[in-house]
Amino acid sequence: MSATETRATAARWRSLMLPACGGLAFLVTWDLVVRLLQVPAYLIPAPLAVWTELASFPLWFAQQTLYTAAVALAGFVSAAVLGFLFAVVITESRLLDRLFFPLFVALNSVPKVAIAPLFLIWFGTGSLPKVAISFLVAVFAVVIDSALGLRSVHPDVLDLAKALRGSRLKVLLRVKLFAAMPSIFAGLKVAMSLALVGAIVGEFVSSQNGLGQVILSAQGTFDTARVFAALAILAVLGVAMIGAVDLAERWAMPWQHATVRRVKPARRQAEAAWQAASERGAMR
Amino acid sequence: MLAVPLIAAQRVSKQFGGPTGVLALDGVTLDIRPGEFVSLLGPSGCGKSTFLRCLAGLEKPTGGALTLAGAPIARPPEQLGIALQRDALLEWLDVLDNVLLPADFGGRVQQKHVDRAMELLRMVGLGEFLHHYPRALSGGMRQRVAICRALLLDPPLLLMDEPFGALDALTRDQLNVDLHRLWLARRMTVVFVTHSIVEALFLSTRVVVFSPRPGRPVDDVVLDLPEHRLLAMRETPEFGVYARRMRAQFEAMGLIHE
Ligand SMILES: Nc1ncnc2c1ncn2[C@@H]1O[C@H](COP(=O)(O)OP(=O)(O)O)[C@@H](O)[C@H]1O
Ligand SMILES: [Mg+2]
Repeated sequence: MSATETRATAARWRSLMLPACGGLAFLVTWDLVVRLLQVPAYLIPAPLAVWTELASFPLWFAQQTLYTAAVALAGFVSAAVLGFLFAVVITESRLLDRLFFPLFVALNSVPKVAIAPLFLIWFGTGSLPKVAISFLVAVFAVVIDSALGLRSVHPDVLDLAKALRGSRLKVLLRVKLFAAMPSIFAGLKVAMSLALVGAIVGEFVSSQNGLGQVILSAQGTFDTARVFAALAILAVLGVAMIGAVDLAERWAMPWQHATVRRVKPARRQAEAAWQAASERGAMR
Repeated sequence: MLAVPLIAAQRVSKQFGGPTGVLALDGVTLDIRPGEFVSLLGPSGCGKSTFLRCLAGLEKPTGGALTLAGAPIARPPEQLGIALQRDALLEWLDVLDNVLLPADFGGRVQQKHVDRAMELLRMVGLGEFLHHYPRALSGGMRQRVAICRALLLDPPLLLMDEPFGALDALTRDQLNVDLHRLWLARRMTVVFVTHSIVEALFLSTRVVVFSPRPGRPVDDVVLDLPEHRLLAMRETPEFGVYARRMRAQFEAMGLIHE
């Protein structure tokens, strides 16, 4: 292993170990506080009690987690798609921007929790109203950040595109979309965590399933360990979902960390051969 | 030279921001014939870029007539080559795809475009960097890519706005040489904006000096210098005569004091 590789591996280790150490320190402190101050378990259970709770009903917790995750994911995806499309519409047309953006901001200022009961009337008690709330909570971040990104293209680049007579669609797909990506992903990360919040809010209002419902019913019986177990799962779920968006971001924007684009070796060889031939032609 | 003008500017003026705004150009009358390499030389803020943007169809003159091959310029002309001071490379495309952008925007990228792009890149010494992203390149290399992109479709007209303004002196010399070679091979019409007297004289067949704002040509010299330019030519007496003449113009405008 070369020196740089060793350093890279060490850096990767550190980037994994440091957060783990932080989490461990948090757990130890929590445990110490509960023990030393003799906090009753119905207020704050010890970490081990929470773990025991999780370990006793692994399958049941997995089911509830899956339900909440699915709702949050559905809310997130719909917010990402529709939010991005709305951002495209308002950045491409001044008229539609003037017409609808203020309305959108006004609608967004209505507290989503207050709208939730209305969704029950409209969509019944299935998972649809929860997805709708999750969508509503998440969509604002997507719209604002996507629009910001789509407007952030350097004027010189836009001039160039215009001088090359690029169609609006090509300018959008080849230039604006990519220039906007860092901003879009920033919005998607915020939206991801908000979608999870939205899913829980939806389950609070009415549900037979999901971690939100677990928290609500456990609270009714003062089963604080179960509440904490659900909260712990939510924390892990949130980290995992943001992590997934992070991964997607790295995959979507290779130019941000690589210096050379990945190209099939066959193509690279063909190009090298072409260049060599052209070089010889130029010498003659 | 009796050829019909490719570009004809008749008393072109441009005022930004309405009748009380900035008058950037005032009565520019200028004919440019096919195959000329014309440098527009003048102090910062005199309206050179504005004039070039009018030629590119990115800006409309507020007065006078501006035609390209006899037709008024209403929108960017077809097959225009353009390079700006900021290289305006797309960071998310590799070098080759950046050079291919005009073909992509003009319709579809074909094999002949790819071949031409690779040939151009090899000519400016970037044959090894086809798939590098722009962020991995130096300022000089980036500007070379921008020039290859401008030349991809063999444009009959090439507009360049201080393309080497942000480069160090050595790199700038090298790119001057590269551009001169490319021009000798193709003989397209070039309108080149600069505020460097030496650069203008080295590259051009003709130099037009602009006055400070509102810009208008105050001198127009067809250079009688060797066809094939070498950097050493900049030390010859003939070159010195032209350089002194330009500098005298700048002094007369009150831009240089000694
Ligand atoms: N879009 C614009 N709006 C208002 N004023 C402008 C605009 N573009 C250029 N100007 C003004 O016009 C004058 C000429 O600018 P420019 O053509 O860029 O000069 P140069 O390229 O010779 O340095 C400057 O005073 C500049 O401030
Ligand atoms: Mg300028």
